[in-house]
Amino acid sequence: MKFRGKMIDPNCIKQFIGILGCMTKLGKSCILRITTTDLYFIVRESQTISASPLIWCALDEGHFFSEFGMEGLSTVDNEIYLEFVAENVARTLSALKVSGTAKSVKIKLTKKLSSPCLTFEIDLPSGTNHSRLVVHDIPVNLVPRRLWNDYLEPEAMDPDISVHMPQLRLMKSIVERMKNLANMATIHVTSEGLLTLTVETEAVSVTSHFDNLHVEKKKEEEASVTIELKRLSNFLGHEQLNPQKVVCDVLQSKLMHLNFLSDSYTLQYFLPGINDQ
Amino acid sequence: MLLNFRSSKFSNFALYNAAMFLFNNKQQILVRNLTNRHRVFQDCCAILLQFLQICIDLGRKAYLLIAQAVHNKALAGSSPASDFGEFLKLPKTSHFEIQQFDRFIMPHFSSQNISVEQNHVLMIRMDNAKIISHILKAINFKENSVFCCTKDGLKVTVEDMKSVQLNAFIEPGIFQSYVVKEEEIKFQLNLTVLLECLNVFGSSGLQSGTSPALKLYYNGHGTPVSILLEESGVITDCKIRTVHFDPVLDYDFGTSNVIGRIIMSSECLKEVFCELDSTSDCVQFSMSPDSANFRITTFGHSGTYHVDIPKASDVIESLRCTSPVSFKYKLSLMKPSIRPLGIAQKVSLRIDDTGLICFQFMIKVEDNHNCYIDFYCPADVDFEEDE
Repeated sequence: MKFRGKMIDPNCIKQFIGILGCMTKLGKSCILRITTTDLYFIVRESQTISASPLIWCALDEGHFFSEFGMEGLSTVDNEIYLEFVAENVARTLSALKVSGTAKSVKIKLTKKLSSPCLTFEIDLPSGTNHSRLVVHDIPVNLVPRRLWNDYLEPEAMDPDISVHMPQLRLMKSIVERMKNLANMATIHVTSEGLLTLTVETEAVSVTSHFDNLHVEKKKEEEASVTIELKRLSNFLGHEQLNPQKVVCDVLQSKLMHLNFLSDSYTLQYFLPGINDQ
Repeated sequence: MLLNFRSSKFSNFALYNAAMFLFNNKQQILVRNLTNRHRVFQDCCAILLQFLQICIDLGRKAYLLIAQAVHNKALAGSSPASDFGEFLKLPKTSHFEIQQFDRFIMPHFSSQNISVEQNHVLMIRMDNAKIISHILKAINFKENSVFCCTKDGLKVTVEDMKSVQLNAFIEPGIFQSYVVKEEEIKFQLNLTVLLECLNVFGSSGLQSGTSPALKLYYNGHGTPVSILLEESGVITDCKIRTVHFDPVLDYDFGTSNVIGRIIMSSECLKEVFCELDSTSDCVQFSMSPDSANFRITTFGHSGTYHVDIPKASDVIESLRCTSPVSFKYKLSLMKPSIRPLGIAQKVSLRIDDTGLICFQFMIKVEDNHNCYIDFYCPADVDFEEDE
């Protein structure tokens, strides 16, 4: 298996760092799936697909990499699945951020000390004419072929209502505050473009109303789902991307789905609903 | 949006829903079934006016469509719809129009009316909720707070074990609108929860860009405090449970008992406080007519430290002392004074003959307005010493 990619555009590097940074803060380990056309980052809390939140990010390699080459497991399964510990990457990223704009970043699949690694070779500007190269090796595990089906692309969901969320900044802050008041919140969306977020405890009830939202799709008049605030707050808190569009889908009582859409990448967050017992 | 006045049962929540409905661009509000039974009609008109006031506050136009059948019943005689406006004594603004309408529209109306709600006994409106949260955050050293509202303003008290007490005073001039319908309105609620609600759109500092608009309502004993906050078109409404208040200590600081009084810059005092030796149990304040300094002393493991601030220095605006005064205070009890000290511009200290110290912090909020926080702490009585 081989993989080699080089990024030279500073905006792409910055964006890549942002995405990778976000993914690594959202779970203990992250799966990187490399195909001939895309890079995927997958974070899932537990193996049981239905019960836990899932973060799925797809990057278009053509946008990010000026040079890209890969050879998968075999000609039939021409993909690479790697698993790495999020914390290890976080250190690389902080090095990248601190040292300023890198001139180029090369990512390679290598073997160091007889174990596979994802190597980042970062070419940094220096005071003199010589180049300064910083190399980070992140140990990875190759995910065996039989487990690849665990990480299948999630099925396009058929939501009851889908709205375009423009005020994410406010939502972030509201969810953060609500998290301090209660464990769960209910999201209610109507086909008229009104989204309300409600928490209710013995001491207080708080409802936020986002209205005049553009409705992308509506199968029902309204839909609502109860979700765990800590998880949503964690996700929104660590997300520092500036997507062009954020779509929120709700499947009655079952799922809340946030879809961050941009030219070069998509980031999806699937948050399962909690059943009121 | 259907405002059905068949019965006078109408809740504030429904009024709020009506206002929200306007936000959804459904701007027709239909009034029907207004009976001419006098008492009910009066109540309905009062509610209608409140609703229209909310619309004005939210900056939205309201269109009241009076069905033909309605106004004939409601107003004996055949006055045109415009007279209905005069009858209600609506102010002449471009915010609403009253049109006659012959057919009923029955849009979807979320029927969440709950209990019968009458007028608010307390209503506060502010363009920038950050001001009130800035002040209340400084006194939030305990969760429970007692609110006391009179025509002179809002007083919020947080107390610890019937000893130290922090009070915040916000005068009516700071609010855009302050209505108190009883002589004194008192209730107790969880201040931490209130602050979470006030900061729901972000808790950045007082001077930062965003400024959520606030409306606070309270309907009297046993009802929750309702807060409506608006920022960039997003509205958050909160209902915080109130409980019957526990009586708070009323520290009576008559000026005749005050022995020592200082007015000084709070920045200087804050520096001193932050550097006090934390291994010391208590801190001592001393001043006398003869001494040139205001002395702050700690007794820690490594020794006794004195901080002397000369009376003549720039940081002390005034110092008046009728006789020598020196009292010790438990350092742990002094802690709640640090936060208000941090946001204030000036502080006054007064010590009376029993050793009770009162700090009064002056905090500038908007261009011409000040808020005050005062802090009371009794002296540490040392039984071993002879007085």
